[in-house]
Amino acid sequence: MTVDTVAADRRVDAKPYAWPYDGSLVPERTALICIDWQVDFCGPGGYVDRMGYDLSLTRAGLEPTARVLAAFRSWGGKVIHTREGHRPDLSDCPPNKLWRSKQIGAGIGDPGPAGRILVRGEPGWEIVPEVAPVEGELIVDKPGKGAFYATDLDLLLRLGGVTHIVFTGITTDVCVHTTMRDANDRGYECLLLTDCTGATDPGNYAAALKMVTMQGGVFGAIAPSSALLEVIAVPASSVTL
Amino acid sequence: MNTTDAPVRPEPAVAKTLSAQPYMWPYHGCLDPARTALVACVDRKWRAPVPDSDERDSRLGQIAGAVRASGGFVVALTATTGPPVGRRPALRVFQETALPDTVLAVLDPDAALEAGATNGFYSSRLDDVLRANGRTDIIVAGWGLEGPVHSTLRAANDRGYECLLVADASTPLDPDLVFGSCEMVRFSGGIFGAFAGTADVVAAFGGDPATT
Repeated sequence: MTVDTVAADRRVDAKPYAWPYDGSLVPERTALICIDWQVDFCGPGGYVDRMGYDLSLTRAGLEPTARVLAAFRSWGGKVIHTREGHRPDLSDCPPNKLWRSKQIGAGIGDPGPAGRILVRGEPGWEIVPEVAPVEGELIVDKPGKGAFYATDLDLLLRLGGVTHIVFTGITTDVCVHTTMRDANDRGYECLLLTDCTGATDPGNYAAALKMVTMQGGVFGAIAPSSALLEVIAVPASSVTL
Repeated sequence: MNTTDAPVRPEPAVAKTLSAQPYMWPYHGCLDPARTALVACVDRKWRAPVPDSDERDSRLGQIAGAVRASGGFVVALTATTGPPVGRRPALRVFQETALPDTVLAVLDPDAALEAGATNGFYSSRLDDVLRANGRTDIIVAGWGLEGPVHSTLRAANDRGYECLLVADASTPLDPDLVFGSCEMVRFSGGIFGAFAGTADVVAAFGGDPATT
């Protein structure tokens, strides 16, 4: 931002502090990162379904996320999607990860109703239509839980001038939390939308949200999507570029 | 992560696996001190004054002793201070006591490393040191169960390390989050690895479980 920019103080009613800390919420420097909204995590026949978990828990955030995506696109912020998946020969899948998935009956690479589980290019690996990427949006493929490890996400954010990140996605306690922690470590100012995320267990969802708010916001802040929409729906007429 | 060529260890007698949730750890069934490291998160900022923190520190020391006595490797991990300049107010720094030096003396680490942030792999030599010393199986515990301990565990798991969380040798910021910190590991067949109690860890490495 240039020195002569006169930006209104814009903050989301979040916990444990009004987000962002610097009151500088502008589309040019804000990214919406949508984590792993794939059939494998919230669709029938995918990885989470095969493990026997309740899909309604991971699907709960789809509708609010679709609303946020529409508003965010109109606002002009950068949208980035992530997908977890492995190469078809599983050469990027750690053997312990493979072993655990087979133990619980959802072996990575095994055939299923949505194709081979957690394998790139398969139907289960695709992002579900409700929150699918549109032309021009970035997609980051990751082999692990955190979206910064073994990917170009940090480079994309830097070159895109992003300093503030809003998170949606699944699952709250695993891929979303790991990525938010690592984003925070790198100095990005992070917000997690509480109704745009879900976990395979309600207790883990609640614990993950509480962890963010520890110590005055150790990993950032949390807010319902309505609080974000109230702010980014306001015309940015006071911002001079 | 080669699972073969595990050498036969001399005394103390080390078990094949140790009792953990949701599976006997490590997954490959060959607990071997020569490929195991304790990563002890001991950054003072994270040592919250919970009522039983002294007992938790004591257990961390017991694990370090058992791991080291059997031929394992011990890393003491700290972090640079606070969030980046200009960001929201820094974390409350818990009061320093004489304990850290005592704990470090007990740990007697093979390597003392400093990370750039909460995740011990960020801006640190941790990955290099573990690889150079042939360590594939990582026990994580220490100060900040929901902070550095969990962030480091998650990062280690993504890198292919076989991870074990020891919650009763870790100090939480919020005791109500201890249960959730373990459950997050247990779900999906051990999404970040497994978790165990100190007594089971010490016993598996040939230590005396009665001392825990």
